[in-house]
Amino acid sequence: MIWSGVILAIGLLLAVLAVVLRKKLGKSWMISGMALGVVLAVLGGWFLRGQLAQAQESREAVYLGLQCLERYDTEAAAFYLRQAEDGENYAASAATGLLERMRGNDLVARLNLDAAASAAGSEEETAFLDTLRVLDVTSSEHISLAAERLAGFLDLSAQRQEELNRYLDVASGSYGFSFEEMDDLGLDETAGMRLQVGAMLNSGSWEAAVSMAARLADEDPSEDNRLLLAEAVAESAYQGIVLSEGTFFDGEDMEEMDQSAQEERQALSEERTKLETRLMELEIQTQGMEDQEALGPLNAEKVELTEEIQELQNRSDKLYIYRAFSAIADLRSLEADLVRARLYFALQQYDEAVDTLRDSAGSLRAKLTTDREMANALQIVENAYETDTVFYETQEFRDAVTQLLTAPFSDLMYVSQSPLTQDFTQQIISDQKEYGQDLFLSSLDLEDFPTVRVTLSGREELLEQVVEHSNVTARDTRKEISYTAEVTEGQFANICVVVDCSGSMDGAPIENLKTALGDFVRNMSENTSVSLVAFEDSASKLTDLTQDQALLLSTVSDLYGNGGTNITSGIQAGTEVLSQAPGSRVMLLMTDGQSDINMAAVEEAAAAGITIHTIGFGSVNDQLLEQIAQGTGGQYIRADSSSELSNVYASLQQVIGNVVTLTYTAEDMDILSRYFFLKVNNSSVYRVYYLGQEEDTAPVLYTSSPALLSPGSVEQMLQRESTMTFSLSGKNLLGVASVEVGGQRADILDQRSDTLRVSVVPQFAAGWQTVTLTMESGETFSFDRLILVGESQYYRNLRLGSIQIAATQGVLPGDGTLVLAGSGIRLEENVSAENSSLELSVSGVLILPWQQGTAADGETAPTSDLNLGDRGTVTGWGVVTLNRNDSAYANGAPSVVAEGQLTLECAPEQSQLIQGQEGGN
Amino acid sequence: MEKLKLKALQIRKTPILVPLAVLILVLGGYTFLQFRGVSAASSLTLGQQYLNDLNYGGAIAAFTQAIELDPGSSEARIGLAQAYAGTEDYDVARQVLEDLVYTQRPNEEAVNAMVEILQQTGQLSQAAQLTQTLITTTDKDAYYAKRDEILTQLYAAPRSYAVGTDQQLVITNGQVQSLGSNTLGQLGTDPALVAASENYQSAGFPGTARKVICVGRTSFVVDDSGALWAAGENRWGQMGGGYAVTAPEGGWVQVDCPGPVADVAGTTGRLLVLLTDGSLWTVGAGSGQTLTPLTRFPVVIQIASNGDKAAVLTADGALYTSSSGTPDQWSLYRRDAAAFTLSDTSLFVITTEGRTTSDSYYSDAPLGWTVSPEDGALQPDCVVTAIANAGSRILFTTADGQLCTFRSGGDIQEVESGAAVTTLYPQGEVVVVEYDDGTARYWGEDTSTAQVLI
Repeated sequence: MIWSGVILAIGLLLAVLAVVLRKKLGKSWMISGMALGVVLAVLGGWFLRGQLAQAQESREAVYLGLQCLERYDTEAAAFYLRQAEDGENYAASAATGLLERMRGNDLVARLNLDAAASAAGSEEETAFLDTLRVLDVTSSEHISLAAERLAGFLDLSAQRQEELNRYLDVASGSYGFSFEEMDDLGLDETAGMRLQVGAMLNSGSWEAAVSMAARLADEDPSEDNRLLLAEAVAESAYQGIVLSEGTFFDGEDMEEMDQSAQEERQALSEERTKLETRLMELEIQTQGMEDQEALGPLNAEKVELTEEIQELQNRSDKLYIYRAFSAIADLRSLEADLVRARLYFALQQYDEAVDTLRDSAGSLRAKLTTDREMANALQIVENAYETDTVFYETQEFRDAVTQLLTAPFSDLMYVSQSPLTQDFTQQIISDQKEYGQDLFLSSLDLEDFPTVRVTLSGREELLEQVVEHSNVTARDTRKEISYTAEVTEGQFANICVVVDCSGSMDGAPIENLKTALGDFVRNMSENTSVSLVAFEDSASKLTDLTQDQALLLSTVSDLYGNGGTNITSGIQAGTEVLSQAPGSRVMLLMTDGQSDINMAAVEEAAAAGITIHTIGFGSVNDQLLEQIAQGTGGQYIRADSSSELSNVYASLQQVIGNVVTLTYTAEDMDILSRYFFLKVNNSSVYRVYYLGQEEDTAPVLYTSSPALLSPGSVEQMLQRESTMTFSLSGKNLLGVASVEVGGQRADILDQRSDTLRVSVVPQFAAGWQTVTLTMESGETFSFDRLILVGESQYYRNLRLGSIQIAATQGVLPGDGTLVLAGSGIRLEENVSAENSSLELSVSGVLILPWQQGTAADGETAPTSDLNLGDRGTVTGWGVVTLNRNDSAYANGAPSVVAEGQLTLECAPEQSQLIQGQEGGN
Repeated sequence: MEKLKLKALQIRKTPILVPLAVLILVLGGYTFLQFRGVSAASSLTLGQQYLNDLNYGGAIAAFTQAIELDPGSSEARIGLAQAYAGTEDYDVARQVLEDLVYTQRPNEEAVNAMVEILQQTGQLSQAAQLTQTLITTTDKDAYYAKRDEILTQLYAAPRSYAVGTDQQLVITNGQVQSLGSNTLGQLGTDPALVAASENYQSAGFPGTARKVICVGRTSFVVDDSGALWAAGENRWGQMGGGYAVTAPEGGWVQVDCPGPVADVAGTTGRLLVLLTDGSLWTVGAGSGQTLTPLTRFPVVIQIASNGDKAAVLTADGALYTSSSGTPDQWSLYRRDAAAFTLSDTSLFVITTEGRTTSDSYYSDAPLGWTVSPEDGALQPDCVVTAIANAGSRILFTTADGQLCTFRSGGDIQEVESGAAVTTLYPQGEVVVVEYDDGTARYWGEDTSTAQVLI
């Protein structure tokens, strides 16, 4: 505005100077100076007038926005406030701040209020912002007062405010109007009719709106009105309204009505009937056919026919959208491009809708247009699709997209709030969202370390870069690595799609799922087969692995939601489908709910080489779904709602079946805590691994019951031809395939992870009996300090060093040791008569040093107390637990103090208990 | 004659051409200005200029406009955050950066800016977590150094008071004093000489203590060189000597650790040792009598425990817990934990979104705070950097260095103190607050003012 004023002033000055200095300038210069001065003054005045008008419009837009805020219509307020000019406008920024507070976007509100602060022209304006920051947005009184106060800063006359209020009533459809009133508001008939169309769309009078728009376009076929007609058609069709010829006919004689649409529908119907007949013939022909080679082309034809029939039906239902395209085909403006995009969206051709916007953004029109706001908005959308940035779920982006999509109809409030606009906006936002990782690490094989093999999955182009070493950084534990990589090509992909069809999926979720799966099936590649499994209270295999797209599409279309949620059954059914399939095996597990999951089912799937990718939305157990994915080399994708399922499945489709194996040799092998890192473009993987610690899966036996056997009892059992039963306790015992005791094959009577009950013919010689476990893998583990055959001795208390050992049964094997065994061995140590510092129990075997003639006087019976000396070493095998009387006892503390190999170094002042290794002894 | 006519013509063209040229210039210039309008790039440039001139108000307006014109501009968001940080409005600065940081592909520059802000506001745990994010997405050496720098700051927080099963330890002027039962030597002195002590007495620790921790009836001291010492119960071999003792013994035993120690925690029979390199080691019940690394937690930021439970916070924001009865079993408690405290009764977590949750403490939200209807989490109206409870009393610190307290259903009161709060942590039935002047005070459930520790 300043420049306009300057031009005006310069023009006037020049004209005056030209006259004043005419004698010095001469006639020709005086004339040209005056002419220039006048032209500049006129131009300046014209520019200024235009800018003043713009400023007035902007203030009025702010005012309308404030009125909408008073009515708590935040979306309408946003519509008007977006039309206000630049951010240097105090009132616009303050009003936007208030709007965002009401929307709950505190950060955006804060930014706008701070921007308003720097545009404030007085202390009063600055002070008022503090009020806006803290006012109660739930109080209509507060909002009303704030809006009124802000309106006061706009310098609009009371009369103009009144007119705008009335305009708002009409525009929002909350008030009927007459064309006379439009006149009073300064609106011509066209503007009035446009408002009326908007009001009709707002109230759901679709045919009436289209009719009015058609009449307007007939009377005044300007670009704006033709675009309005196309928009009305799009909005109606998006609501599922099938428009008829009568909607567009304004006359009384029905014979004069245009019959071309009816004729076109008739032709489409006839074409559809032909295709349906052919489809029926194919169904009959393929029923029961087993020849896969002949079946292939016929199935393909069925799919094609099904889609063509659907297309024809769509075309018939939405005939007028196609006609609308034709009606505006000659219009070459950005506004026309936007309307075409909206028409595509109404046809649910989302890709074409977005492509139209993007093409428009890159067009010469966009570069040359004086409407920089529209050009900028188009560029914003184009940038969103072009870049890798993933933070477009912001209010600013949403507002920018909505403003763009409604730009051709800046006078119609309804359009900004229409479902078509909202859904189109959401589609663009959802398109920016990334679902899952485009590069992830499925497995890290350290079996041949320092050779490391890494299996990567992801998008094809990224994996190609990995193979080509193009823009790749690869490191292992802070060192660059040199690697070789190969793509697993040509592998057939078997995919089992496991979906939740519980009751909570009923309605929009199941419809969205069908759409998503339909797209998934249509996009499956030729070396892929797909199976469909649904689960609710139990699982059902709906199709085997097949490449029959028609069958899959048909099955998908029959999905419905009902029943509970049993995710385990879904996993099990999927495993059953995939476990024998040749090629890669992938399960896509989708759920919107929670249930307990038996991880054994997941382990079984992993053991069968199945990768499970999990998809969750709604109230799912994220941690569990992530665990399932990680446990099988897959990834977990969290969707905000079922409407994102299409994007989720599409995203997974890009990574399934793409596998690269990368091999390298690690350095610095003395570093135990390590990691692998790889970055391609902006995608990276980072996996920590640790050397030197193997998973504790080896079986261990700690105790046997019975542990001590007398030769007499063994002999008796043999004579009676009886078997002896042993209860063995330990850990990791589920994988045991067979057991031997003392060289004799034992029968396994009961098997759990921590116990084995076996029976055996006790052909035992005296001495230790080795217990050997053979695993399913063939590996064996032996334990030779569990069972001892020998003559029993009975001792009450034994003392060695500071320790007193209470036991009931022992054996002297004759090798200079005394063996105590069983579950009742107690270790005690008393600091004083009052204080029992130590009381432990041992289940297993203790081996004490024993010398001939240990008894104190040589005559003491073995049942007496025995002192074995001040010092000595006791070894053993078993489990040591804490008793309640021990001074270290605490409620809830672990009861096991030591297990496996035991050593007790006894001394007079204090003894030490040392726990050795746990493995087979 | 012809030449004169030509010359006359030439002279007469000038009064026409010059004004025409001026007119074209004016029109062209005006069209250009209208055509160009205000662009995101120009707003960005203007914002940078304002930043350089320390005109934060102008920078905020310019960057805000740049974001409106280009919502995808990371430079505008970073610039806006820097402008707000310049006005010390770190809360807004942080919020502006969140969309760039907490995303699948975090913006490196934005994360760096966020780390600086978090360090400024004392949110070291979150700063370390974000630096870890930079490591896992770029593997640049500079970020390892940065992480180590932050962890060093984090681990340097003092701990002058510890409560065990039946003993208490306190540090005064670098010396350790203890009181309570000494049946197992947990006071550090010979149980044969001192069976119990009702008052604080010297614990006989030979060096200068930096932290004291109690795990059941075992007492630990981290000295100023990062060495770890233990006294008291060792039935499970949790002193890491490769054996368990039977009779109680007095005195301090050095625990053989593979590096300098940052912190210690554990439950009865099981010890967790956090080294200054972020590695976590364990000894005792469930793992054996010598220190072994807990490899499932590659980089650990914080550990804590009470009698029943131990908790571990990793650099990727995952908080795990295990109970005393099953020390080798860890379960994931939360994936979005920024910091936590663990008192005798409650586990308090501050999430990466700034909310506070507890496993057992439920409170009506104080004025200005809100309660999430879904999970009962409290959403403060400020940035909370640490929070703990002593019974029904809550104490918390804010990013601007304020210490506050409230009781369930009550109002928030600010606690005045001359010095800045260094750390806040629960011990036993109290919450201890340590200040940068080396003093420490505690709050109990019923104490209305801070009490001196000793």
